[in-house]
Amino acid sequence: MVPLAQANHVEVEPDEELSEGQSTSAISLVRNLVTENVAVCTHGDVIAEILVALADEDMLDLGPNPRQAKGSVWALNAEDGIFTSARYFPPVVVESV
Amino acid sequence: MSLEGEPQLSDGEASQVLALLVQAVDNANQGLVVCDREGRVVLRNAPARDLVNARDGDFLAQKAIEAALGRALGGSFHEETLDLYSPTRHTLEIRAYPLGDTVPPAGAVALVDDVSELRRLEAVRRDFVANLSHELKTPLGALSLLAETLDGEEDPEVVTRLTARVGAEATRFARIVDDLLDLSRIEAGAAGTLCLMAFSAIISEAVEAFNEPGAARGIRLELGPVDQDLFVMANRRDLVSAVSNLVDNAIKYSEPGGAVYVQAGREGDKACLWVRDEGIGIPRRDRERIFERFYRVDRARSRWTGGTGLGLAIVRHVAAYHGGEVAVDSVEGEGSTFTLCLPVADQERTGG
Repeated sequence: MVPLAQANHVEVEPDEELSEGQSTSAISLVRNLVTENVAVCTHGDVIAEILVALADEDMLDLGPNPRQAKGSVWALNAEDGIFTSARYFPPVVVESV
Repeated sequence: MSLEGEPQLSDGEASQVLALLVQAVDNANQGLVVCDREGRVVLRNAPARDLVNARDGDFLAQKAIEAALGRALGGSFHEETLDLYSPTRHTLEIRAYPLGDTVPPAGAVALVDDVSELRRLEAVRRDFVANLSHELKTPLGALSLLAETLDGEEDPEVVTRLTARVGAEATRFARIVDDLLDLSRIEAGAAGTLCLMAFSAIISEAVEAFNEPGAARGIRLELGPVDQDLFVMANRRDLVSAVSNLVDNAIKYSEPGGAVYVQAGREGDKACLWVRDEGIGIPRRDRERIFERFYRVDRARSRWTGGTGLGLAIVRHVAAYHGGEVAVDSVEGEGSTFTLCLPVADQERTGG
């Protein structure tokens, strides 16, 4: 997260609510950030729970075969407090020279 | 169309045939308006008269039909759809054709179909397919995400937690499919023979199954007085399922420490069941829609309670095919009462 934060001139804020196994608090945190332009980094199990919760509650479409490889990114858009679209970006593969 | 029999009709016979034709078109479902070459209406059948005589929207409908006839008199086929919004939305399809082989035509005919119900059913079907796709995709997507998270995970605690979640999502998927199959069977009228049974026995069977789950959630389940002499003609499995859905919902939407009250009695010629909770209640705007398939008042709560969104739709259909009905009365913040009423069975007549 640090290089991303530096490139955007913002600080990285650690948050216990994104700890492994803390899916309920993580879902609340993401809901509270719905109006913000923000990047959130957490564990795979938490990401899965957040995505499924948003699919259930906001009817967010995760596509036919949602994935979450390590290092991947989900970009979420929201309107009027509801998450309306989600797009998956697979991990960037850097080939060694 | 051609007239059968003698091609040359006397004036009297022609009048008889005309009277028959007018009767025939009056009995059609479709509105029919015929005008002469001057645009004067010479025939308007009963459905068309009903359309233009309707209290609301008559002016717009009449003008649209006249315009369609005018275009047809110009020699071309005309088709249009008219949406009227007062007081409720209804939709008319108007098609107008020139009559005769002459130019200009000898007249024109407009055919008018009220397709409101057809449109409503199409919208219901579209919504259902969209909702169904989403409801099935979500647990499948969860399985896909959880499986990928499990892959390579070495922490036994995390593996145990994720495995339990995989099981929960698989169960959710199976419950949706089970409820869909139940609903489909009930909607298809595959209920089979209804048998005479004690209303109290059905209620007891359904309620007893929820004593333990209710207690686990800190909800007191109270079965009040139930008239033992009340009998109904019922499919036991489906009626138990309907009562179970009502009790299950009451428990799910109650707060720990609350109570759910179940009682039954006779009201006129109806056997009625009341399931009352002290839960969060249902907003007025949602009360008409809660019996629709996949409609949820609170999607977040439904997620945690594990509802499929089909329970109340099943209750409504079970009530309907038993000749009864289900209704809800609710005050936000105070609770809801669901009432399920079925016709009382006459034991003498049914051989009970």
